Amino acid sequence: MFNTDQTENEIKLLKYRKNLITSGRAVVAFCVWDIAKVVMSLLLKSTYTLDLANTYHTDDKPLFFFEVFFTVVVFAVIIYMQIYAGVSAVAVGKGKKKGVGYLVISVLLLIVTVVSIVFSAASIVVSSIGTMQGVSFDTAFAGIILDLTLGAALIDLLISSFKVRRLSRVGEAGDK
Amino acid sequence: MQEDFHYYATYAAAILAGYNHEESAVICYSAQFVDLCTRTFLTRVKGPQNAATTQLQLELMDAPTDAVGLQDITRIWASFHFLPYDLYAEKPHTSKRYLRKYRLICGPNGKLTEDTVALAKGSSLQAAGLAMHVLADTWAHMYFAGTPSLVINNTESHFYEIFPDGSEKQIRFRHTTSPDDVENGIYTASIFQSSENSIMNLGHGRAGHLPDYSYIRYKYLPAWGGYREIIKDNPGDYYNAFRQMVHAMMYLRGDIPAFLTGCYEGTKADEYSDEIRRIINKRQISASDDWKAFGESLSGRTIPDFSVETYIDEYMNAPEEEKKETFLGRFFKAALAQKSMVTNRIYASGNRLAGYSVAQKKERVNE
Repeated sequence: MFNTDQTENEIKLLKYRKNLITSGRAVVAFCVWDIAKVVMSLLLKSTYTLDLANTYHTDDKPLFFFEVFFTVVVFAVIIYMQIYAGVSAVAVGKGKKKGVGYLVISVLLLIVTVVSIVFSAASIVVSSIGTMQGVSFDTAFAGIILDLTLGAALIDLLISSFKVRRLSRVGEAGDK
Repeated sequence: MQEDFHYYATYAAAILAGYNHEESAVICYSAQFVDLCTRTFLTRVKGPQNAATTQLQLELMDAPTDAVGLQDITRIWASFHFLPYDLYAEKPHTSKRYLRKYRLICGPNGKLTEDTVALAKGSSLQAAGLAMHVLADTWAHMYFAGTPSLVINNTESHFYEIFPDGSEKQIRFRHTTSPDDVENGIYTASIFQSSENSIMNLGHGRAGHLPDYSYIRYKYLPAWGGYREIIKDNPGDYYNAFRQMVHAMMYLRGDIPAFLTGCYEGTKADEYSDEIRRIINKRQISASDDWKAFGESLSGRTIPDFSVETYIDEYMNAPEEEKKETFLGRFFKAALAQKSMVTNRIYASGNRLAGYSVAQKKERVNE
């Protein structure tokens, strides 16, 4: 029969811990999408990228490569942040870790995701006017859908985290 | 449950209920045969296909999971192994589709258990044995449903064995064909399948064989439980199942006027409670040897080993008009009656998961 020792608080805590684990894993899994997005962009827009490189004067080639290097570094940092936030959320959900660092990073990732959605939407609008090259409606639309899903996972992660922290405090107060 | 309980323990219960050795042997053989009467077997003996009381894993792998296929699967498993507890159960804030599956959750002491025992009253010993299998399974398989459903039958990593001293250990299932390692607490379960109607989500597959081991206590989160833990006390449930079988068979013999659900005391099983509990609590995969020894000590006779071949020749060699009087013929008749009764009840409750009821349809034609 049902465990009569389980309080309502414990039931809710269990639910939000499970939520946290699921959203944490989703955030980590979306790294695959981020990497795929960049790779697809480079492959599909490879001609555009090469043309862009060739528009730099000979003296500005180092600048171009520095910008590429900087972009790669920023991208790697975002991927690391995503993995850190997701893995930390899973650890908190399993009760193995406490801390708020991953929450701060999750908020930053949410902001980045929202910005990405806005820019994708803008690129669709601009490309429909015909003033931007190398933008595919399908790619941008798919990107928006997936970024919305990532955003939902991050929001769920944040809400579940706050609920877990609050319910854990209630549980500890009750034990005392 | 397994052969140890369906065959040997049912024999012991039949002896305690007052049946003699020969009658008890028929009853316990029929109880165990419910786990072996497949369409493959029926094809071999040229028996009625509708009398199938179980399905082989290979048959399940080939079984379609469209609407008609699911109805066929549900008719078998809900009728013989996962008898629904309450066909009119309510759960707030759920869709009709979910509620239909929720109402198929198995549990002991339901109305259908009463009807199953009543159906066997005045019928053959084979019917009594079949009823005992169904009754016993309501205790072991409770909280699971006899229809493929992820949202009802799924479990997850929150699964802990509870030891007699109160300590707990998380159970991590593996998904191989290796036998369960009882000593080290390593068990096998079906693999997670996200498809709602996957065969992997039928019955207690996601909990492995744990419901069939009499010694184990465990807690887990059922998919339908809303994050509430279920504590499954197999030793207690198996003890009640045994005593209820004695009670039911005393009713079938006519020694008591009524079969009352929730009634376990007042039978000869009480005199042997220590021995019964010892067998149930012993940490082992199969308690056949212990139950056999117990049964033979009660009757003073040797219980023959179970063999699915025992009554095949009698059935196949009998003339067509005499087949129904053979052992298997009586069993098939009992199986058809049980399946029809349960399917009727499910259909009458407005649930189409077991398909249309032939009897109901005939009533409408005659109106």
